[in-house]
Amino acid sequence: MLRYIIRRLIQAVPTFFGITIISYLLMASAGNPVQVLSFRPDMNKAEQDRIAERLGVNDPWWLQYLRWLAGDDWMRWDSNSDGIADHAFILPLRLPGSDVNEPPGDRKGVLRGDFGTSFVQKRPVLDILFERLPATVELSATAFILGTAAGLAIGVLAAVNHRNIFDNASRVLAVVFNAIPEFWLALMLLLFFGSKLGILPLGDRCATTIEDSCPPIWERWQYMVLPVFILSTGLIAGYSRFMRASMLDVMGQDYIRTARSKGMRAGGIWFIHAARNALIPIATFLGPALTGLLGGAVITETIFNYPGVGRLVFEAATQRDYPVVMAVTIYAALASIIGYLLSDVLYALIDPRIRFS
Amino acid sequence: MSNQSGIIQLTESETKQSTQAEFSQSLVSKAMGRLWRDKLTLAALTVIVIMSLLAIFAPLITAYILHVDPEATNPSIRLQPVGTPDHLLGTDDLGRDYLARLLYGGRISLAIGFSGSIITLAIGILFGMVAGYYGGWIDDLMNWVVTTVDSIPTLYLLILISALLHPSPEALVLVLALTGWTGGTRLIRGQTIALRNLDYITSAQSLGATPWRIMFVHILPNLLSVTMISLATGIGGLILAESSLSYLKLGVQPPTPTWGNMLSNAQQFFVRGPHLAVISGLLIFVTVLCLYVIGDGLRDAFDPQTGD
Repeated sequence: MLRYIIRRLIQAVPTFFGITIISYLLMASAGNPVQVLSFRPDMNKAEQDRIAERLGVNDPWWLQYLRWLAGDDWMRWDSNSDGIADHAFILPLRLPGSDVNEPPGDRKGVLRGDFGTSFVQKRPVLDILFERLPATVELSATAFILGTAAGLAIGVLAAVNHRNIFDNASRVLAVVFNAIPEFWLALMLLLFFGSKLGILPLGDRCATTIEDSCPPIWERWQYMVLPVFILSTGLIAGYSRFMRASMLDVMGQDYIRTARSKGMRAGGIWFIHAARNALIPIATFLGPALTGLLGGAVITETIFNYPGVGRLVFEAATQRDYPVVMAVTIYAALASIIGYLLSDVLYALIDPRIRFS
Repeated sequence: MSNQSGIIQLTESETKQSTQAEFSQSLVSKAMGRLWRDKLTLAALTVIVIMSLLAIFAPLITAYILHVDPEATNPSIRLQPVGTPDHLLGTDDLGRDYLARLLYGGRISLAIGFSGSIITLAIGILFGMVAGYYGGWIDDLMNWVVTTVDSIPTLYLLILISALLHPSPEALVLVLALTGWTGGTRLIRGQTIALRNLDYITSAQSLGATPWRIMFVHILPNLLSVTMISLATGIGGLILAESSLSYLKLGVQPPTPTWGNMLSNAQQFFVRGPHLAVISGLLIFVTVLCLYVIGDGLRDAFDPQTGD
């Protein structure tokens, strides 16, 4: 088992590097960040060139990628602490046309957790990300737990009532949840519950106060009702369909017939014998479900004005805040890599037929 | 096949052989027969065909039947409700005929869905068949690319690409297709691996058929059902994705109408012109719903386990 987990971990390494390359290329193809970086339209050409040179945007792409990934404090460093670099590796010690050595590199690189400084907010990207993370985690975790529970329950009941009115209703529900534009549903619900009935707030994470923090979750549950529901629609649709199919599959097997012929009660057969085995293939759905949640959070957080990472992606992309964009992409990718890893390990754990070779 | 299985229990391999022996005609015609009896799928198919025809003939319909110009603005008749004389579905915030706008919007939305889905599928078929048939390092490489792309949420990728690169509508189709190709590739790859080890492929190989001939002449026809299912659901998915992007103002930019940006624009006029948001949202919903129902219906129709 341990060997299997280690092997899966090693397999995740190339995936991680693939993601860094994709997000890097995306940013590189978006163009020169110099103008974005300094909002000074009057900056002259020479000045722009100097900033560009210092930022290294004129270097070949692999060198830029390497700097971003592994930092540049080992490419140009200062050994006698006078603030001027005296050794260099790969990078030149001086800029062309200058007779003073450059200051030493101060970037540690993504691999060492340094995602740089936000262009817009001028502070470490990681601080911004960690500020937004709690809101997204509480929203996604709640949606995940409730959505999974509801989806699995609906799936089991649909299979038990096969070809019955409940079964058909659950199938319709699943297709409807899949086909409805999320933001449209959210708007309609906001209009009805928030505006017409006035029983739920129109968005935000909590009531605005002078303090910059929110009370504990149970004191502001009404703010979570709609966003959690919208975010969990996809999960309910997916899980109920998969669980229904898996249950029907299991219910057709011999051991269920044996249990029945022994005179076991129907409820016992469904929930003790069938549902437990039907859950096994559902484990593989965990990875895609997590990725879906992260994507869905963008729309949900934007429409409900929820200060999470999803909205951060959108804000940073439209503001061309490259370092934030990159950090958020890597965060999302890491989360879904872990999701896929967990679902594989979980699957191997609960299904004894999996061979670890 | 199903009439045989009532008499004798066939083993797994025998089932496959008999499927191959009487393949093509019987499977497809049986599927068509099942489809014909599946009224829900037929209804959904009818809706989609009607919508596509309306979209294709939108210029003719607006010019000769409705007698309106979809671009003609008129500030004096802004936000007229449904049922206004001369404007069947009312007018939008600039006084344009909403029905005409919807017809034209449908052109773009459906075109994005159809063309994007076809591109996705073409990539999926090519990559999936090559990876599945050759196996080995090609397969490993493909797997790496697919897992990598899959681990970034699609909407993240779409937002990043459209916010950073500002693609034109044509480029947007390509972007949508390129972010969605992994699902199809995995599906086709799996099917190809299942088919690769069947006897008829071995016999084709021993007769000296080239890999490309085997892939396109012997394997591709057997992927028909899978491709049709993923085409139907793919179109729906892309229409939804475009509307999500439009909601974030990153989709096709106005004044070019799509159902997505019409819906997104309608939000601002929710109080004075609720029909705008209701109709455009409903159109997206019904279209995607019908496409998913068709996908489901095809899956059932082509599934040999479904009884007649």
